[in-house]
Parts: sequence; C-alpha cells; structure tokens
Amino acid sequence: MRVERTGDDASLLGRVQEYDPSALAEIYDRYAGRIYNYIYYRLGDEALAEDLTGTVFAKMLEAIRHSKSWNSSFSGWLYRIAHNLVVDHVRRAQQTMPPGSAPAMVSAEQDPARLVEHRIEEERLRRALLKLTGDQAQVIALKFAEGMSNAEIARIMGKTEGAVKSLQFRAVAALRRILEAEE
Amino acid sequence: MGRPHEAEDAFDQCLARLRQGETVEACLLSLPHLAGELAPLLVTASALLALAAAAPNPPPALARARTRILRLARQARPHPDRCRERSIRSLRAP
Repeated sequence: MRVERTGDDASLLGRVQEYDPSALAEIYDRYAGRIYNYIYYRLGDEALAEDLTGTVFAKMLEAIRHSKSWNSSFSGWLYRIAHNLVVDHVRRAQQTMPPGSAPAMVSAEQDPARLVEHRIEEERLRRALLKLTGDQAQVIALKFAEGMSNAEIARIMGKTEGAVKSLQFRAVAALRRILEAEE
Repeated sequence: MGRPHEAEDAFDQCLARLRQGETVEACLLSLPHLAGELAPLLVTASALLALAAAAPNPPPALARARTRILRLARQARPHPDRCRERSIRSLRAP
C-alpha cells in the first residue's frame, strides 16, 4: 500500500499520543515494512535494516514522550528519521571501514556463480548510492524502493513536485557518473 | 534547443513506463531526439528498479521489534495515578 491515508492516520496518531497499544501496533504494522524496505534499499544489510527500523519506532515513542511531534506528514517524519539514521550509520561506517571494502557478503550456501555476479553488481550500485548527496539518495529510495509518486515524495521531502522531478533526474545522472568513474 | 525541463519530464514519464514493464529501448524509440541523453539514465534507472525487486520481504524479526516497541510504549505510558496527581495540582494552582 503506497498511498498515505492521511485521515486515518490523524485519528490513529491521536490515540498513539495517548499510548494506546492497539493504535501503536496498527501504526507499526502500517509502516514498519515500508521503513524496513527503505533502509534495506539504501544499506543492503538485512540485520542492520531490522535494527534501524526498530530504532525509528523507538525514536517515535521518544518524541511522543517529549511532546515533540510531526508537523504535517507523519510518514514523511518517519522517513526523515530513517534517513537520518542511515546517514549517521554511513558516516560512522566510512570512518571505520578500510577504503574499497565491500559491506556485504554472499552466503556460500546459495552461491552459484551467477548469484555472486548479481550480488557484486548490487553492491556496486549500493556503494555508488552511498556517494550521492542525502537528498539525491533519499529521492531515489522513495521513488525506486517505495514506488512513491512525485506528489508523495514532495510531501515527505518538503519540496514541490517539479523540484522532485529535477532532483530525481540529477540523482540518476550523478549515480551514472559515479558508476562510470568506477569502471 | 528543447523546452526547459523537457528531458526531466521525459525521464519521469519513461520511469513510469519502465515500472509498467516497458523496455528502455521502447521508451527511447518514442523519444528519438532525447535518446542520446536519456539512454544511460534509463539503463541506470532499470538497474535501480531491479535492485528494489531483489529486496527481501520484511523478515519475521520485524515482529520481534514490534513486541519490543509495544513493551517500550507500556513503560513510557504515564501512570494513571501520576496523571491524576498532575490534574489535581493544576486545579489547585492559582
């Protein structure tokens, strides 16, 4: 389900702010898979994506506890938390990872040559994605991993639809240049 | 010279067509004057779509995280007595 049901969310979020367990469970069920996909697309690590998805929702609770909240789009707010966690993780990883090291490995058990080749291509693409600016990486994840429309992305990123269209064009062009430079 | 944003608009339309299963070649055939500029971008976009299709389903561990989040929420929930004390104090306040 890609469409944000804003009306539904509004009443549900009111109950979440009262710590209603069934509302929290519903919010989690509605968004956890999408947030997981978003993080996985950007980092390519299942365990890390699970961990950071949990952190996104823990931060949501923390924000409720401190009476901080989302101004307009709740899902946009969740994606921004996820985006910030991804950026923090990448920054930390780049400080500790030796240059040129690949972050993920292919399991030897499910490992015919083609699968390995395919995974190498995926890793190459993901490494290139990590070199984009934050906005470029975010627009690509929302468009390609989440399959969102320009209008949905615009709402989440606080931009106009035209700006989203330009940004996605420049992001893919930048990605292309990064991949070509590696060849 | 094409109109401003023509390539961006065409790229956006081609993305929608790729999503519906059309090929890069079919998109380029319908936009011959932009083919040179769009071809490398659409090939990259195809790879990005394939990357999304290769993503695993959200794992069962998300269910474990759900339990953890609900537990955290129970712990964070203001105790009813404390809420009542706050209400009484606010009533007494001048």
